Amino acid sequence: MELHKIESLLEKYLEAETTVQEETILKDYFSSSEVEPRLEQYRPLFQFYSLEKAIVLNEEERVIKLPRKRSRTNLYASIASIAAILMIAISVFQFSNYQEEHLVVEGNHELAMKNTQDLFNMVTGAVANSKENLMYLKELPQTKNKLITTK
Amino acid sequence: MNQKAFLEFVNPIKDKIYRLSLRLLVSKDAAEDATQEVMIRLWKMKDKLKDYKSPQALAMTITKNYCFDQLKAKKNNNLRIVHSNYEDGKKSSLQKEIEAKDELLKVQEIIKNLSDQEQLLIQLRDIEQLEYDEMEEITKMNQTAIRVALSRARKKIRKEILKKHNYGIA
Repeated sequence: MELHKIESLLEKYLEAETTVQEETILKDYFSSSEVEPRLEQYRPLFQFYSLEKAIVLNEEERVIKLPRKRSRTNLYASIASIAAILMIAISVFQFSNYQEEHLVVEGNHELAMKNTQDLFNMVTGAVANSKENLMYLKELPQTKNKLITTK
Repeated sequence: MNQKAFLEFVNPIKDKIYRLSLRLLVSKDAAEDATQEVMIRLWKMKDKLKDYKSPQALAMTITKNYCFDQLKAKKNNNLRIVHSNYEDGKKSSLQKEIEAKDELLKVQEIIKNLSDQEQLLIQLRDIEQLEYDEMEEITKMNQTAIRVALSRARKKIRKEILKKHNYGIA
């Protein structure tokens, strides 16, 4: 590599006008053993860049620890199991409800009769009570006569 | 994207993510954590990855943002200088090796003193050798701005190197 070409590349490099290929030429030149003494000061810089690119993660850190994976089949399986549990729960619930309702229907005649009788008894009791209170109605015309005299 | 496809996508860029984190966060532990965090973020959006023009640029953007957030949050109070083990390719004398190592550490020191933005650009261009259009996507800067900033950063580095170089002679 001619010296003046390297020097012009260096100029372009400092102006950030070099391409990646040209920068690779510079890196290669400065890692070779025949570096012009005049350009010696650039050697560590380009060597540093080459060495930095060679840095890699150490072995144990290379292992990527991903969050525990939930695969699609797993997801479907869990959705299906939730659905199944819900269905069983609902059916059991409904079945027991159905049985209760059934019992109520069977015992209904007796209960209805008893309730009706109670209601009738209550009504007759109330009527009997109020009959006594009707006596006070006689007082009403008497008081009226005292206040309003008519010939 | 299933786990296998995800790993195939992530494997070639994992080290790039790590190197960028290391450049910005300095500490190896912090860089490893950052890499892990970026992996998880990518994994969470794995189904959307194919919609991106360059998933690699996306990964680098996430890394950049995460690292800048970390720096901003000053979570890394315990920043420490990492002395990487530079291996000299040539079999030179011990004295020469020590000198070479010393020079490289000086370069590392100089780059570390640049702004975060400049370090990012140097990392993407001079180390990872990315093209400008990819850098645009990662940094959200336009190409002209990138070139101007990069040129400034490179000149700054040269100035510092020359300073140390001349000091060494005198």
